[in-house]
Amino acid sequence: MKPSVLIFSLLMILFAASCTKKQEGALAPPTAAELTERGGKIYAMNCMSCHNADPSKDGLIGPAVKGSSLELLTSRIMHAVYPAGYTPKRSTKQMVALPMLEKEIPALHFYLNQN
Amino acid sequence: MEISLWGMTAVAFILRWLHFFFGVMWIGYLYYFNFTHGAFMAEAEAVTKPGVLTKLLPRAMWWFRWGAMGTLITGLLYMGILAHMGNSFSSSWGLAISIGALFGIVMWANVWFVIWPAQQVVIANAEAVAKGGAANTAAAANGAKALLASRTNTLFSIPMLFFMGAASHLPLAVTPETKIGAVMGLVTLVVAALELNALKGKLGPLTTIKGVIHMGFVLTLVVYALVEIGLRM
Repeated sequence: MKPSVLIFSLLMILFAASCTKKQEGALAPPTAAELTERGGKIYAMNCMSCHNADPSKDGLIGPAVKGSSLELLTSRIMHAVYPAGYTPKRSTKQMVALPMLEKEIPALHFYLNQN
Repeated sequence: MEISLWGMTAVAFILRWLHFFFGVMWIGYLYYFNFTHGAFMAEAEAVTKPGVLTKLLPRAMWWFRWGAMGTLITGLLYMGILAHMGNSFSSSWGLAISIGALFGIVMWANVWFVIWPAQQVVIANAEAVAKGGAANTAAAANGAKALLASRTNTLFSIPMLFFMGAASHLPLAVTPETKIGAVMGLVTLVVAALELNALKGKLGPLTTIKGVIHMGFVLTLVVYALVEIGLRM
């Protein structure tokens, strides 16, 4: 392999990593309906393939997650750990952290705690 | 007590398992052809070659092409079942498995529509010559055609495995703002250009075993970089 190819590829990765999301304008706080919709989409895009289309049911890999506390969601999503004193529903330790969802956790929490 | 392997979960998991089984069969033969068989044939004595071409190659090609078919069928069924269970292709899983499937489906087409028809000419020629018949002048060109497609499949197999594994083990930053179509479009352009080369072009750096493996890792890096760029568009 030519060194130039390797260097070009690495530069592409660095370029991609340096991009940042556009700043969102200061808008009114989201309504309940907006939070539910956002949370539902985030759930479908990032959680559903291991959990279940219906978050109140167990999924292919992960357990039911409906009703999860903000503390539990934050620990699992940011660091793939459990809050102190929490008894996991399963002992499989399959989940990886998804820190890129940090700002989506409130919407996800709202969605998972709807009736 | 609940049985883990039950219901739709079991159907999905068994399909995934069979997909691995057929996939290993297929790619195992692909790597055998590319990393061992070709180099052996280049060195083999003239008395050895007819036996390999008429007795070994047809058997290896049988497992190779049906392995590819089994991989395709179980893969499509698996994706269909997961979609049926409510999974969206506009998701981290959906994006990664679509890229893996894009590589895999092009590879399957190369096996069935390029490599196998070309190898049939090569095998038929070897059989005719072994029986004392005239050599087919098109045999060498068909061998070269099969080699280029086979090398391209070896190249594609490396990013294919990356994205197949990524579907369940490397979360991608997919949000409602993500333009999944744009990401897939970028990746498809790269795959289409390389496939065009597989059908009409040259071996270039894929000529050597070392070259094709190195280029496979470079291609993986390039496609992954395109995905990260596409996710930010």
